[in-house]
Amino acid sequence: MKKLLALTMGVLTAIGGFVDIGDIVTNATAGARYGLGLTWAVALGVIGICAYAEMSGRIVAVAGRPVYDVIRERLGPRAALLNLIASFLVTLLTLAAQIGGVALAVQLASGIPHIAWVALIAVGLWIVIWRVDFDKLEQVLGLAGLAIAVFAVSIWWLDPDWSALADQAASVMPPADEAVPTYFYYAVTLFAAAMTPYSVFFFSSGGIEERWSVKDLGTQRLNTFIGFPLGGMLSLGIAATAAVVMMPLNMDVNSLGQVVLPLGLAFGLAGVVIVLFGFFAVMVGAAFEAAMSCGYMVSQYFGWHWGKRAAPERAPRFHAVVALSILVAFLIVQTGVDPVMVTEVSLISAAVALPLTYLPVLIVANDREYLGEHVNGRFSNAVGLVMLAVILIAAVAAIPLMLTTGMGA
Amino acid sequence: MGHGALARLRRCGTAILALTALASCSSWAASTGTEQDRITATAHSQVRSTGLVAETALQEPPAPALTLTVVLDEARTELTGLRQELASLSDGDEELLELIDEALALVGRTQGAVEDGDREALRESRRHADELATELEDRSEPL
Repeated sequence: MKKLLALTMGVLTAIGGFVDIGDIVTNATAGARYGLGLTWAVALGVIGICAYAEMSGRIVAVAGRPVYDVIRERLGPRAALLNLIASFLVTLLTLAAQIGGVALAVQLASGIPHIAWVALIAVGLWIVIWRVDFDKLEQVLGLAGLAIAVFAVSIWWLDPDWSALADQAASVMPPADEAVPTYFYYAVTLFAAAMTPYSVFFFSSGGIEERWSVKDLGTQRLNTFIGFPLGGMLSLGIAATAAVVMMPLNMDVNSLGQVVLPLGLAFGLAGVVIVLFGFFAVMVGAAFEAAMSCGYMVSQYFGWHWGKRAAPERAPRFHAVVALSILVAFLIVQTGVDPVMVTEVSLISAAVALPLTYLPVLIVANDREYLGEHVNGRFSNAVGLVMLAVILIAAVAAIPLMLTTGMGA
Repeated sequence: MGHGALARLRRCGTAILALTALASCSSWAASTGTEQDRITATAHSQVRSTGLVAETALQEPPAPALTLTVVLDEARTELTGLRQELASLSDGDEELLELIDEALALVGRTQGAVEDGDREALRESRRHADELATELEDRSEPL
């Protein structure tokens, strides 16, 4: 029972961290356009996030110190500051996208414009972070977020052409009638959506909050290798429903409301209610993780006292950073900018910043001074290096692809 | 780093920049098409979206009218924007303008049918959305 509860951490990170507004929008858009033809990009992202989350978790469990603390000590304050700035800005933008996404989900349930909900959601998020117990929060959001598995179930109801879906999933080349840059633009955004930096920082910092030690390495690995692939499967479920319903109609997806329609077709009222509940849960979970990650990053870099379990009077600067991040994210969304647009920009920014986030993790994971006998083995290094190469390619290609395709137009 | 290595690095950088610029120009043309193609494609997607809303409202029990109305509002906003954009083009296409007006009228009728739960009108909206989407598709091969 205790082990099962420990696994909840992985499920929360998988659903809140892996499936968020970025995954929902990009998977639905890519699914409507390419079917399951970009499954390889999601798979690469899952392998990458598993590899680097495992390394980060191992650093925490063995060194007993947060990842940013070790990175600053190992790389020096200047290099670590670059890493901090890049990761923080991307995470802040991601937080804005999640808050906007929650507001869109509430709009779909209430009919009241999303802009009217943003302040309430930001305040609610802050209160939840301030008042609600960490364990309860992760269990409730983790389990509630599983509601989006309704996408996977709906595929059976929609009676697809399974062989066509399988052919798409096996494909690794752009369709003949599609522009190659647009195809790779979506590949980069899907990859970046899977590898968003905040999930690794939340996961590893959560490990400190949960007081992981070497004996928890097994559980930590189970969390990573079950949780993230589960998130990847749920993401592909979203792409698959769009592939079954929207792709035959040659229809583009550019709003959260359109993503919901296949569920309405499959299950009517129940489908829409369940998916809106699931969207709400995963995006609140992701907003919680992103807001906490902002606090974690800054506090760990500067060596401040931090932690969800630490009362505000004991960790005032940590709680202030979290609150200020929520405030800035709220102000971004309150300008009236389309949350889907914020999501797309945050994903491209994430793609550019990925090497700055993950290279230091790979360096520290190879340092015997911190990890002793638990440094990366050959397999971890091989996977880490291959994924780093993919990350570098995605980072270099992200901006040119965004400009040349007009954001995937 | 020696002068030779720096010069090689510079040449390499310039070549990469030139290649990126070349690829940008060609792929821009390949991926975006003309302004009217883009407007047609977006209008087509919104018409298809409206047809899907009508079909979803025909399920038993239907999806919540509030949710479907939000999707229709988005379609209306998008189509209104496209109409203004098309009208501002110097070579504005009258036929496309008429199709967008027709799409806007379809969104209005579908919204009324969703709110009233009028199944006959919803079936009519779905049929009309199919016809309109086909007309828009015929105008633009690469859709």
